[in-house]
Amino acid sequence: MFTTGSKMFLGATALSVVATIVFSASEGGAVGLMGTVGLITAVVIFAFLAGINLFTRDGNTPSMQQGVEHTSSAAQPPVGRSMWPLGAAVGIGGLVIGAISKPVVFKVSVVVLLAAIVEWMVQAWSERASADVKYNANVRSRMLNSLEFPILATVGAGAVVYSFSRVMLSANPNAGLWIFVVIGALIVTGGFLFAGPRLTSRRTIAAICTVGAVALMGVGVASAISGQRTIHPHPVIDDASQKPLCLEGGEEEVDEHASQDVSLKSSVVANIYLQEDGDLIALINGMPGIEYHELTVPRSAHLGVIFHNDSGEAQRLTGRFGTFPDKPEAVSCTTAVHPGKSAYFGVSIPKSNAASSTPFEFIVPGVDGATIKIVVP
Amino acid sequence: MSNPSRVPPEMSLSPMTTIDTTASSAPSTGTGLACVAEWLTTTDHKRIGRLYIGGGALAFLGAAVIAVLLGAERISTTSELLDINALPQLFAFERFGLTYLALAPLMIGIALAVVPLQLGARSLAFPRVAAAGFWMWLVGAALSIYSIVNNGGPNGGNPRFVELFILSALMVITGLVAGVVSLATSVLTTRAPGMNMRRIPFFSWSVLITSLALVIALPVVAGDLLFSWLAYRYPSAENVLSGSRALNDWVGFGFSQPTTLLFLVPVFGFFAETVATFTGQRLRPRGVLFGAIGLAGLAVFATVVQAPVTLRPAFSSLGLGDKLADLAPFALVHGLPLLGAFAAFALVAKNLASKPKIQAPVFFALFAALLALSAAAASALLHVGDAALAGTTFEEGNWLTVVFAGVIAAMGAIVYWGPKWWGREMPNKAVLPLALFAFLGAELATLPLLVAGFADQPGAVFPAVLATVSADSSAIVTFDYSGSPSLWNTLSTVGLALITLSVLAFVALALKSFSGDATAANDPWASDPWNGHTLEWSAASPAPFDNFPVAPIVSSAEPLLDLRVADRSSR
Amino acid sequence: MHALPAAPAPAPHRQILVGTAVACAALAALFGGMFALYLRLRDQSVSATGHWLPDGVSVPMVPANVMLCAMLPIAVFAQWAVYSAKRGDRVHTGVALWLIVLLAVAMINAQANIYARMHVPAVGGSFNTMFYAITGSMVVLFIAGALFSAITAFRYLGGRSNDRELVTAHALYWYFLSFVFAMLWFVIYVTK
Repeated sequence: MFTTGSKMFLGATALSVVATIVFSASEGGAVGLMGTVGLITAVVIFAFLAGINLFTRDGNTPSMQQGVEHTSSAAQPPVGRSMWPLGAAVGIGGLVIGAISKPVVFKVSVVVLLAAIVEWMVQAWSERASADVKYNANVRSRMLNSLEFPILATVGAGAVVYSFSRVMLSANPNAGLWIFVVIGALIVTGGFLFAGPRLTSRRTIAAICTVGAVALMGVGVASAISGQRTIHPHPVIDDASQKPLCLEGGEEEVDEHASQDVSLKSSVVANIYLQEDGDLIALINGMPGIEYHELTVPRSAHLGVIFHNDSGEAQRLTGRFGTFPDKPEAVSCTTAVHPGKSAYFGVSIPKSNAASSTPFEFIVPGVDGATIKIVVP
Repeated sequence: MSNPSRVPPEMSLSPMTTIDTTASSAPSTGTGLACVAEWLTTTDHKRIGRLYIGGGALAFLGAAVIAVLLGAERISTTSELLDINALPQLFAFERFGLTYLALAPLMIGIALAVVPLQLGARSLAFPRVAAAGFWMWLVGAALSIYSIVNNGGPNGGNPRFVELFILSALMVITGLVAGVVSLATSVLTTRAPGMNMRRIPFFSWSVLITSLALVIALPVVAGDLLFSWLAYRYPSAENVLSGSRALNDWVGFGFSQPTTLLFLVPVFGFFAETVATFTGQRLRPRGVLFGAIGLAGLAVFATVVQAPVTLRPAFSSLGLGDKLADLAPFALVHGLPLLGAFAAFALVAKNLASKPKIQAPVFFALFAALLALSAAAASALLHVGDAALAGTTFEEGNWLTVVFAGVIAAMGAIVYWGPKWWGREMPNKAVLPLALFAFLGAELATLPLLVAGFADQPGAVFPAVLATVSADSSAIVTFDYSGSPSLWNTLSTVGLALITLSVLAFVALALKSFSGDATAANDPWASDPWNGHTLEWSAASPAPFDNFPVAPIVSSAEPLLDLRVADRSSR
Repeated sequence: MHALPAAPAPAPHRQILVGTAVACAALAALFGGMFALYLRLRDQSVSATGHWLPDGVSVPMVPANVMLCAMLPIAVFAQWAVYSAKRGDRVHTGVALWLIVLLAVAMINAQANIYARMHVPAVGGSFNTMFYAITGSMVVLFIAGALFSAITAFRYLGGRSNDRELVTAHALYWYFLSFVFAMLWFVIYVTK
């Protein structure tokens, strides 16, 4: 009635029960509780496996069954090679590394792991389609190629583009121009050779393109490791720690290229001019010829103005955007610009229902009377 | 009873008429990148097993070198071989490395490579799961080594890399669990027709017991590692799971006895296989031997309890009730596995009186079984409170005995089953002395530590470290390393070096013997150099990708012995 | 006209069922070990300080009870899938399997709700560590179960309608998960 395997599992269950009773009776306290629960777990596991084994009758295959040497479990042929076990392991390794390093590594590893699971599942499913290996491979391809090719192409193109960007960021501006031209020309040439009339075999071209892409990615990795070149920032100064610089002026280099940013900005509502006589005026877009000394700006609206320095020395435009309870005064300013140059200034009035204890205004530090009032309804 | 007229199994049946789905997956003789790609994508259980064996052998050699250096450090207070601050980490990593990066993959690798052949199966159950398990083990092992190198690991100083060590240890254990799930399922469901559980080979039975025990034990260790990681990542003074020693305190049971004894159960199965083969006898009674091997697997109780089960000090002065309260769980947790190990050894060893052939595998198996039995006995003694051996080098010597028993068994298994994997043999005259040297090295490495433990030499402490502790500090441990302890430590270090060199020589000999073009011997009798009894010897050497053209049908536990006897009697 | 290719060899008998059972045994050992340690530390904490849950943390029993109740329809749907598969009813098998996926996602959502309401900080006593380790592992198993259900649905509905053993193994997994969750509910949410 009981097969050998069932006797083994039932015997293990019985011994586990005995061990549980003995342990719980003899060991007290928290440690005894822990051991008892552990042994109860062993009881449950052995009993469960005993039940499964009784159900399957040890998995015995009778030898007298007709054709059993072809149909039994032992007769099943081995499955084909697969890279997805390795892929899944790499994904899990990435999860481990991502857990102690950057979250982006973790997220990418989750994607890799899911991709490996899906590929594994489809491969296993397709292998049961028929007894013909080629037919099964065709089934798998029809299922997954429409996903694999676009994704791989996107990932590959993304890797090439990202590598290109790292190379451009690490090269100095003069060399970068030539690198851009040369690499771009090579990519276009490669594309022409591949798509155009057959000048050489496709395989050779594919090999050259692959080597080129890998080389580009290698250089990109090296560039990323070495770091990007020093790009001197010329941001709008809105750090609270820079407040003295905005209000009182100070030693600071002038942004030679401030004007170049102007053309890239949109949503400019006014042009503010610092005139030679030290007067600060605003010309509002759509209202030509009228000089304003105040601007109306709603709270939390994002305001864009262009500062034109028509005075005789380098100046900056500073915005004072109110002092609210329990907060320091909100101040920001442009970098200093040369006479005749411009700078874009994008700011927003803080959203607060409380009244401000300081005025809202644009000023030019060091120039008395250069003020434009900001009316905040 | 076997059919006297039945010819070798794979020659008696016509080939399968359905299209073989694995024709294109059969391993080719590609070179270079194609060969690497084949190994990276393999689902052949023999290759997966050999990958585990290769990885385990490499890890053993690396960890053994560390063990030799640590042994040398222990000899004198002025030793400057290693950085004093790195000693605790290296010691902990030696422990982890030899157990889970060497012993475990060697045992599991041999099982994966052999068991389906013994069962007459054309494939392992869930081979891709087993392959994924190997790659997870490998990636986890690489990350754990990387973490140690970067001041991670237990007692490490770099928090990120300590985290990495814990997570990579979790990955290693998960990979091993995947392998044992495949093994257990194979033995339970994928046997040749006619092979009921009473007829499965002893080695496969022992692998089943080990697999089921590890399926229960390893996840318990994994759970504790999970807690340890979370407690380390979010530490708090009020959290008993946090702190630099927490990993040792809460997960230590997973790296010491009796948990590590679970990896030695296949040693007894291998011992039974080789004795039966080289004496030409059927081992009886099978059921009792199966039961004995099963009892040895009950060391799993110690793991699920997650705490040492000991006989309290001053045991003899306790009242009867207290004595029974101590003795009963001790007998269940330590006594039963020891009884099983002893019974298995005795049942097999009694057949040695029949004078087996002088072949290397039986010597490897005998030495390994002796070491395994002594390890089980020492483990029981370790938990006797009156012996006061806990925290001494006795525990370390006991653990090293476990490791060396497994390694020597693995060496024997490679010699024994190597012809089936590679189609070539190792020269008996060259490999037999290695068995002796390895055994002598193992004894020399471990016995002095056991003796030193009785002399209360503390374990995991080094004289160079103690020498830096000032006399008026509240040092927990004091020990005089001069005199006889110096002798024991020296002998142990020599023994460690000897076994390391033996394994290194074995690996070199194996590479030399098994490399080169293997010629497939289609004559089943010629592919069986040992006159084996069990089904794996009926396959060609080296065994093809699908092991057998059709599933062999058996009607006894020693089908090839039956055929041989019938063949002789018919002449 | 092309002839259809030959049918594949039959799937290994009982292999996936036994494999799932062995894997469930491993997971049972994982949770059993964690519950054992949890109860030990709880006992020690209660003996020493009189309490176990951190100050300000209370267990929201409603979502926990709903989760437990939801395991019953999951188990029923899993058995419904087996029943339908045995009768070759692809539609009902598919409905049952996808309902299980939906419920598994709902369980994960409910667990997230419990996390949000309990506000157990990650840094704290051993309760905090154990709570997140045990319930986090359960969430991982729910995700694995949802994947298992999706894979089973894909394989069964994708033409392998003779692959009934996979549906049975899938049901076994969800019965096991129901049992483990019931233990978790009692140990973590009821015993506290």
